[in-house]
Amino acid sequence: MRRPQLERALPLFLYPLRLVPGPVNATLVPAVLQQVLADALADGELEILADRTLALEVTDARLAYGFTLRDGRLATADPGGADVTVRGDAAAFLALAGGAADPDMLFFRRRLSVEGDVALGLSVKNLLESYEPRHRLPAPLCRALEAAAARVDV
Amino acid sequence: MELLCPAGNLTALRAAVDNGADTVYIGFRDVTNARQFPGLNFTPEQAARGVTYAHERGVRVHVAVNSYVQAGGWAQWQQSIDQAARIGADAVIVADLGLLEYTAEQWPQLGCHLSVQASATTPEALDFYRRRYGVTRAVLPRVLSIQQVEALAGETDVELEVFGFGSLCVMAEGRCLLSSYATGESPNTVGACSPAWAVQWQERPEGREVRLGGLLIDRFAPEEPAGYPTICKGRYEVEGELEHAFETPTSLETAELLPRLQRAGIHAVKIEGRQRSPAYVGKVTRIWRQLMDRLPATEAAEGGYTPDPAQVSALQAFSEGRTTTLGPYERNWQ
Repeated sequence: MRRPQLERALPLFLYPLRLVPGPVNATLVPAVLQQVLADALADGELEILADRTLALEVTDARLAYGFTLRDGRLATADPGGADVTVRGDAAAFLALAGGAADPDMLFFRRRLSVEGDVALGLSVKNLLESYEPRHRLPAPLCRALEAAAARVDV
Repeated sequence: MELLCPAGNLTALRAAVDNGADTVYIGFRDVTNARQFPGLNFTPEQAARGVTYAHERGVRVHVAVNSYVQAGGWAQWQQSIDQAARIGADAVIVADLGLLEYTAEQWPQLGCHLSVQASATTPEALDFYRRRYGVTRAVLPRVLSIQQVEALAGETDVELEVFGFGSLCVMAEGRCLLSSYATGESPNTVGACSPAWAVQWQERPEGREVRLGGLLIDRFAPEEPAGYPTICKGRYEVEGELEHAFETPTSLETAELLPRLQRAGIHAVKIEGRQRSPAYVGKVTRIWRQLMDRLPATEAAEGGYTPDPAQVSALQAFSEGRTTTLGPYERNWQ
């Protein structure tokens, strides 16, 4: 089946992210997360990531990020040694980030996989669904994300 | 007929309310409800906010306290009933006899519904719950054919609520021991079938393997649709054949039965899936609202009723196994 154009182009858009130096990622990524997950942090819900690492792998863009909670703040970590790893293609992650897709459905369809500590993975999934971090982005960015997510065919 | 939709958090509750649910059902974040998964469900404060949001928009809230009280656990289950009453829920959904009696005595104004976990399927059983505990409504387990549902509706004064869409249990609802066999835990005891701590997924070159409590229960070929990690949906070698020995992963989808359910006097149609995302809840609620609003008003108009194919296929897209079935409703051998 021919994949829609947006879906095929997505990993290409993301490729340059691989060239971002580690220290820049280690500063920028937590800063953004700290912002969009501020409510969850304040509620103590991110304690589940204390000294644990969740890795996200965007398979078609060959990107991998690890996340942990260190001293009460979100930080990047080595995705190689993650407690749980969630893998998926760029379109699947975009659909999730924009609130357009159901993760269980993507999992049934093999667009997402979860290896490692399933309970941790499920906790993070439920936390993200509950807090909807996209709503903490600037409004135009949130709308653009939702519009793009609605367009990908997952 | 009333449309009941699931919510595992406030975001999903708002999605259900905004997309046309008549009632939303929820659970507290502990073992007292049958969808107890990490990070899912409501703290009492969140539940109170949910009730406020729903009531302001004319939508009811039911609280499932539908696992069975375990030895030494009375205080915790009792507390869930008390909390549901205090936040202004319209009804609790209960299976345990002690809790039914407690609810009837302590909170007589609180609606008391019989959970699917109680697995009551006869007029006699329903009548007992009504007389003894003032139960006004029962959720029927997904084990009856449409003919049986129709017959039952004609023989009881208890309102009936049936499942219309979502994942299916093997036909022993409320009495299933498969999850306990592999993990020592089940919906009736801790509120979780296949608890997440016992699940292991592994992506191997030959496909996705899933283990529950260390037992290999399925291996999905690379492109093959997968399902939830429950023993009933696994594949096993039986007499030399590798097959779905209990049931095939599939979802219940009963849009075409709606006119019959309506005519039989079924009071409410329930969507399964408190564990699903707000995206699922919002989209499925919207489709079911439309399906129910467009039902023919008269029996005469029902003859050629078929649900909108576009909506049916949209529902199928959400399904476990990506196929749907009328499930036990269509057991036409009876």
